[in-house]
Order: sequence, then C-alpha cells, then structure tokens
Amino acid sequence: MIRIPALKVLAAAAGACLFGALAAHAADDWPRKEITLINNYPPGSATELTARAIARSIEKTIGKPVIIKAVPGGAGQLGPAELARSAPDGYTIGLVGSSSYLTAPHMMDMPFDAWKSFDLIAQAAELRYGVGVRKDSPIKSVQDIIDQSKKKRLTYSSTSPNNVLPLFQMAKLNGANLRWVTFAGGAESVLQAVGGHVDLTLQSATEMKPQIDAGNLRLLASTSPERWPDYPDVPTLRELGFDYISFGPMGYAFPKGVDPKVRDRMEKAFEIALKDPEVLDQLKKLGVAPSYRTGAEFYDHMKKMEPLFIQILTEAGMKTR
Amino acid sequence: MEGLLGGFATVFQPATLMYCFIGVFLGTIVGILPGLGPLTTIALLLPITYKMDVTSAIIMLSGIYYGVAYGGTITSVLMRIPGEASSVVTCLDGYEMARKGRAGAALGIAAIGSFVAGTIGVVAVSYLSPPLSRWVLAFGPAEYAMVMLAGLSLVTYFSSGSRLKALLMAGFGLLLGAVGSDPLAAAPRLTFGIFHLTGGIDLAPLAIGLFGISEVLSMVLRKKEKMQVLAPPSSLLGFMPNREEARRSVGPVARGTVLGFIVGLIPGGGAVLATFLSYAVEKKLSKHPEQFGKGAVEGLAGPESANNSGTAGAFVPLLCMGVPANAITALLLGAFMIHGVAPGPTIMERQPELFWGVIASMYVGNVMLLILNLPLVGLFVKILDVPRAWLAPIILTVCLIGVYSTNSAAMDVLLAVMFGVIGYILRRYGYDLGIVILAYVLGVIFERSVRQALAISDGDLGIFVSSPLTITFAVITAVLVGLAFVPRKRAPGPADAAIAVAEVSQVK
Amino acid sequence: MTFSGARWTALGLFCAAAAAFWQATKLSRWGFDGPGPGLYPQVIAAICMALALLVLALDRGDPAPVATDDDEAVARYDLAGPQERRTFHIYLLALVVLVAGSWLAGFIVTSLAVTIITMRFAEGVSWRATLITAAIIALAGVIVFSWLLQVSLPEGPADLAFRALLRQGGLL
Repeated sequence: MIRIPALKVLAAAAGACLFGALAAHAADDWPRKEITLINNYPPGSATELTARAIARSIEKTIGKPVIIKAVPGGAGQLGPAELARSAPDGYTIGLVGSSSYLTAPHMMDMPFDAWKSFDLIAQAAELRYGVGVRKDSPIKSVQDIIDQSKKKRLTYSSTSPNNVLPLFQMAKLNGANLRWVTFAGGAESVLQAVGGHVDLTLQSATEMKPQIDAGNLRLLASTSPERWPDYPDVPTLRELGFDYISFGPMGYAFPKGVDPKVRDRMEKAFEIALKDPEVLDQLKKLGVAPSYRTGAEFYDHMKKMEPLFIQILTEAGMKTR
Repeated sequence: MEGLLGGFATVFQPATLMYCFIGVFLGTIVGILPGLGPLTTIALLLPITYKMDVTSAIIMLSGIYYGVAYGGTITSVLMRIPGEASSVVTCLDGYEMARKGRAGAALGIAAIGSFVAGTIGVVAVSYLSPPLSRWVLAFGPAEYAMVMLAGLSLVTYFSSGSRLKALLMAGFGLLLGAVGSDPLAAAPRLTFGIFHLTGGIDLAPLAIGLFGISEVLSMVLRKKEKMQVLAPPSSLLGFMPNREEARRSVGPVARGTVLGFIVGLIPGGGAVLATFLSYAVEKKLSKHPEQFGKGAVEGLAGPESANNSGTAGAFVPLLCMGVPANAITALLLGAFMIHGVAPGPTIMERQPELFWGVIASMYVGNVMLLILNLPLVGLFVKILDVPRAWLAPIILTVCLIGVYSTNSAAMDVLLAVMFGVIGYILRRYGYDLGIVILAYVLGVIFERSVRQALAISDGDLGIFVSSPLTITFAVITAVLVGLAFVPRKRAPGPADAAIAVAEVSQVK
Repeated sequence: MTFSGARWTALGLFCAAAAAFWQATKLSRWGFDGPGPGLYPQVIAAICMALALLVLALDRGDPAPVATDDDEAVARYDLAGPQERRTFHIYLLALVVLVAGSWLAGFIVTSLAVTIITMRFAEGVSWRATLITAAIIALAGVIVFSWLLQVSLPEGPADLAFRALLRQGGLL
C-alpha cells in the first residue's frame, strides 16, 4: 500500500475545494459583462446579419449585450482562428462554419484543429448559394461556363472554401478551366463580378440579391439543394444534371474548455433564439434558411459528413493537405 | 431636391433631433475616452435602436460616427494620442499648435473645417452618388493595388525629411501590417513564434506607442520651464482662431474637402489616405513648408476637412453598392440590414425617404457637432494647464487602458512600449512615423489586392498595367519613387545610381 | 565612416527587415490557386533591406541642432542636460514597470506605481501630492472604466479585492 502523507492529501483537497469554489463562483457570476461574438465575414455579409438577428434574442435571454466583432479574411478561417485563441472564460463565442471542419483543413495550413478547438453551442442556419454573372456576360448558362472556359480560363470570386466546391467539381469532372479568387466579403466579391473583374461569382443569396434585383447580375443556377424562394424559375445545379452542392451549415461555439454550466446556459439561449418567430422571420428576409441543431448534434452531423467531403475534395483535386 | 426637403422634414421632428444630439454627444465622449471604441458604443446602443424607426436609428448612429471622429481630434491635439488612423495626421501639426499655446485655435479650426467639409461632402453625395458608384465599379483588384501604391508614393514623396527614409518607413508599415494571419490563407506569418502575434499587431498599440508614448519620452527631455504652455485666453472668443489663422485655413479646407471626397470613395482606407494626401498637398502648396510639423495651421485644416468629407464620400459605396468603406460605415450597414433594409443599387428607388433622411441627418449631425463642440473647446483646453508632472502619469494611464482593453492582453502593453521607444529613436533620426501608420492601414488591402490580381492573371505582372487607371497609377508611382532617390537641393551624388534600383524595385 | 546614432538606427532597421525576411522564407511563395502567403512579405522585406542599406550608406548623420530646443519636433537626448537625462531614464523605468505591472500586478498597482515613479522620483513632486494624485488616477480608472463602462483592465489582487468590495456593497 502506498502511503500518502496526510498533509498532501489535505493540501490537495483544500486546493480542489478552493479551485472548485472559484470555478463555481465564476459560473454563477456569468454573465458579468458583455459577450463578444467573433464573426468571420465583414458587416453586411450573410453570416454577420444572421449573427445580429440571433444576438438580439440572446441578449434578451442572458441580459447582457452581445457585441459582434468582425474578423474577416483567410477564406473565412481567421475568425474561428481568433476564437480558438481566445480564453474559454465564457465571454467570447464565435461563428464556426462547416468549412473549418470539412474543407479548409484539407486545402490550407490551418492555425487550429477545429475538431479539438471548440465547444460547439448550436447549429443555427444554412446559407443558400448560387452562381451568377454580370448582366452583359457572354456566359448565358451553366453549360456555357464549361464550354467557354475550355477556350479561355475563367475566374470566379467567392469567400469560402465550402461554397466553391461545385465549381471545383465542375473543373475536375467536366473539364472546365476555372480559377478561384478569394475575397474577404460577400458584397465585395459580388461587385467584382458586376464590374467585370472576374467572370463568375459564387456567393450567398443575401449578398447576390440586391445586385440581381437591380439588374446588374444574372443568376445562372442555385448551387444549394433547393431553388431560391425569391427566384423560383432559376434551376438548381442538380436539376441541370450536375450533382454538386454548396454545403453551408453554420453554428456557434465557445473556445474549448469553457465551464459546462456556462455552455449549457448559452445552448439554452440559442435554442430560444432559433425558435423565436422574430428571429426566424429576419433570417428569412436575409435569404438564410434557419436550421437548428444542438452543439452535440452539429458535431455528429459534420463528423458523419467528413468521409463524403474527403472523397469529394480528393475527386475535385482540392485535397492538398 | 424634393427628396432632400422630404429628408429634412423627417429630421426636424423633435424626437429625431434628440436622437441626433444623443449620438453626437456620446460619439464625442467615446472619441475622447480610451478603450471605448465606436464598435463597443454602437454595439451597446444597437438594442435601443431596434425599437426606433430606421431613420432615427441611422441618424443616431451617424451622429456617433461624426462625434467619434471629432473626439479623436481632441486627444490628438491635446495629448498626441490618435484615436484612429485618420487622426494620425492631426497629431502632427495639431499637437504642435497646442504646444505653442494655440490649442483652442486648433480645435476651433478642426471643428469648423470638419463642418464645412462634411456639409459640402453631403451635398456631393446627394447629387453625385449614382455616377460615382459606377466609378467604384471600375476598381478591380489590380486597380486597388495600384491606387494604394500611388497613394503611398505620393505621401512618401511629400514627407518631411529624407524621402529614402520615408520609403523605408512605408516598407516597414507594410511589413507590420503583414504580421499575423495571412489575409487569404490564414497561415501565421512573421510571428517569430510568438503566439499573441498570430492575431496581428493592433492599431492601438502601434499608434499609441509611436505617437503617444514616444511623445512622453520626448516631452521629459525638454527643460521643464519650457513645457509651460502659454496661458489660455480667458474669454470664449480667445479660443477662436485669429484672423491670420482663419485666412490661412480657407484654401486647405476647400482643397481638403474635394480631395477627401474623391479619395474617400475608395473602400478600405480611403479616408485615411485622404488625410495624408491632403497634408502632402498643403505642404507642397504652402509658402512656408518649413512650418509643417511645427504647428502649421494648413497642416491641420486640410487633413481634418479631408477626413470629414471622406466620411461623407464613404457613404457613396455604402448606400449605392452595399460595400462599407471602414469599420464604422460597416456598423451602419449592419444597422440598415437589421431593420430589413439592404443598401445597394436599388435603395434610391425603393426607399427614397430613408435615403434622403440619412442624407439630411448628415447635415444636421454636422451642425450639432459644431454647436456642441465650440463651447466645449475652452473646457478641453484646460487640460493643457495641468503641469507635466501631473499630465504625464495621466497620459501613461490613458495609454495603458486604451492599449490593454482592445484585446485584454498585457502583450499589447509591451508592444506599445516597444513601439514608443523605437518611435522615439526613429523620430529623433528624422524618420516620418505617420507613413508607418498609413502603410500599415493600407497594407492588408494592398496585399489582398495584389494577390487577387495575380491569381486572376495567373502570375502575369502585366495585369498591373492593363487598364488606363492602372497605367496612370503606375506612372505616378514610378516617377515619385524614382524621385525619392534624388537628394533634395544637393549636387547629384551617389544617389544617381540608386534611381536604377528604384525602377527595379518598382517592377517587383 | 564612424558609427553615429543615425547609422546604428539604419543598421537596426536593416536587421529587423532581415529578420522579417528570414521569417517569411518559411512560407510558400505560390499556392495552388495563386500567390502563397510568403510572396508578399518576402518581397516587402527584401525592399526594406535594400532601402535600409541605402540609408545606411547615404545618411550623412545628424542635422545641425536648431537654435532653440523648443523648435525641434522631438527633443534630442544628446543635447539634453544631465537633469533632463535623469528624468528621461526614470520615465524609461516607469515604462518597464507599466509593462511588467500590467502582466503581473493588475491595473490598480500598476497605475499607482507608474504615477509614484514619474511624479515623485522623476519630477520631484512632494510625497503627499504624489500619493493623492496616484490614488485619484487609479480610482478614476477603476471606477469609470472598469466598473461603469465595463472596459477590461489588467487584473491583479488589488483589482479583485476592489471588485469584492463593490459586490459586498451590492453595487455589482
């Protein structure tokens, strides 16, 4: 039998109590001040507006303001990277999209491992995506993209490695010659296509709609599984015979290691937010499809999708890591 | 015109006027206090605006925007602590004016110049928005990259002291901006293995260090009795600019207004670039360029005006394209969207009352700011009555709060102090630190644009001279950078050979 | 070619640029879809190195001192008297304390220490006035920024104790 000096046991116990007391105290105290929500695209982008709509409801539930901090860039990975670096004190949450888990790690050197860096709170929504061209573009259909790119390489603007998947697949499987140009913000990305600096844009509905409505941009196809409710006449890529989709669930997380009590309370607040008719109505106005999952469900959902993504990325020649 | 009148009818309701006042007042306070950025303020206020109608909400938030800009001027003039990148230039001559006992005049001119420029800028927005937004569309990645380069070379060309040193500072500004995560691929860069640096270097430690802390070090080396600033005048009129100062401000305000409006249209750093360019232009045109950096009133009036009309100019891409030009217009965009309004090419047809209401509120906001600030100038100037022994610890504490609170990181305090000491040494040896900040601010967009352009052209450098716009900017850059290697007013010497080097570095 | 302060400064800038260049060489210059993360910093750092060398070669040293110290935009250490130099050194020490304090001691202690060092030891203000001012600055910082405006400040034992005090008083 190993003898442990009584003093050490006592000290350890005292330490544990003290630590426990402090930790418990921190959790009871929460929230003591405002919460910072790190968003990975600039203000006015689909994700930022979604975050604002949700934050409004969270504020009501927890009684402290939620401040949205934009950390755009790095193909949408700088925001999650900053979140991963933040202290898990319960006062910093951030958007994590499936791109941090499923696509980006296979395409670029990531400063964090999404699977290990976050305590997921909830999945909130899925973004709708589409591919568009400027109004006087010679590209009239999705088939034109393939045909014309064979004569001359076409460029397209987009913000995240997740939404560009269909065009990568088109390049690999249909022989299209395409080059992705990354932009930090959706509105900016769409404008580059309107201004003729790139040939195509693949962006979310929120950011494309104003330019489509103004007649500056033509929507060629929805790259989501469904057509856009605003433009029911425009077909999806699938309907056109290309079985490619942009997959865009987005959710929110704490940095790993946050107090479970705090996490539970935040998860509850998100659940309330995503059942709030006012929030749902706002998301609809933004062209974002609300889709709630708990943090754990979100994690499992992505884990299940991972093999499929690795297969698609390998096929499309995007898996470089 | 009808639209604008309708806008004024909206604004002149008592409740709306009150929101406008609250916005301007809070903005000024926030601009003066360290550690409380416009971001936090607007975020704290945003929930209140949900219950208001869109126009009142935007009017209040725009008020904060103007107010913050003006509050930043106050700390720049009195303590040489720039609140944001666009008040860095104000530190140069505004602070020197304060040292010479003209703090009241400096703040007065800044307020009046801002008012004039803001108002003219708003008129320009109301009439020029549609054609100007087409101009914005002409800017692709290559155009952005070249306009940034041309702007930087213009500013280095007109800098004080050695142009070679100015170019070197521009280079270091770009390098400092590149520290942290790569803007396209998120890879950590130039971090020297320091974890904190993967988030990049923030503006707060850089600007507060290079300007605020370096000035404290310079201040304490002066003989004590010389620190006594001239006693401020006792009457309100005494704070006003005198006739000479007013006369010298007219031209700079007019030029700054035009310049600021045009350059302010460039998203991402346009207003900052405009302040630097205005300073350069005034120095070039001035009959006494040697006074610049030593309290030249033109060096304050021009940039302050450029900053404010740039602010108005920034509304063009915001309202007509939905592209915010800086952090604050970005927040305003957020406020629009939360009220279900998407700014963009259709806003003028679909929501004329909102469009014109916002425009009208900008006029009113400017008037309020003037009314609010002129009487307060006297109060602010009293800060300078405080002897150095008391002022220095206050400035250091303000620096500590301002730097630490951005990221809650002690590492930033270390960075600020390092930049303070380095900044003192560099200033001592004739390096122009304003350029560091300008290059740092423009750097991120510059790099992003360069890389996007190269991705589009598949590495072909020809894309940087492929349109009339890019060719123009490239020629400006090449000439100005080339001239940097010619020593001023000296016989040609070893630098002749260096011109060749300049052209080589151009091609890169 | 003597090594004046100006030359040392240029050399320092060259070394900084070289260090940045060395850091940037670890990153790729070209990625699968365009320029990689290393290209830009490498080019900029190389230009900085070249410019720093040129400045090192061409800088003719100090400009002649201006007639009055007050006209100089920045006060020069080499022209300052012994008294001012001493003050300058103590302020440098205060800056070190500022950094160390914000790391280890929290806002209240740091602010008190910096104020006492600068006022009492650098400027020679009486102890009484120094302590009163120090207390006012520290309290104003904590009350206005930390408590009322909820700005985050460095935390140390003194700051935690102050917050506990506020909580006891039912103010938090």
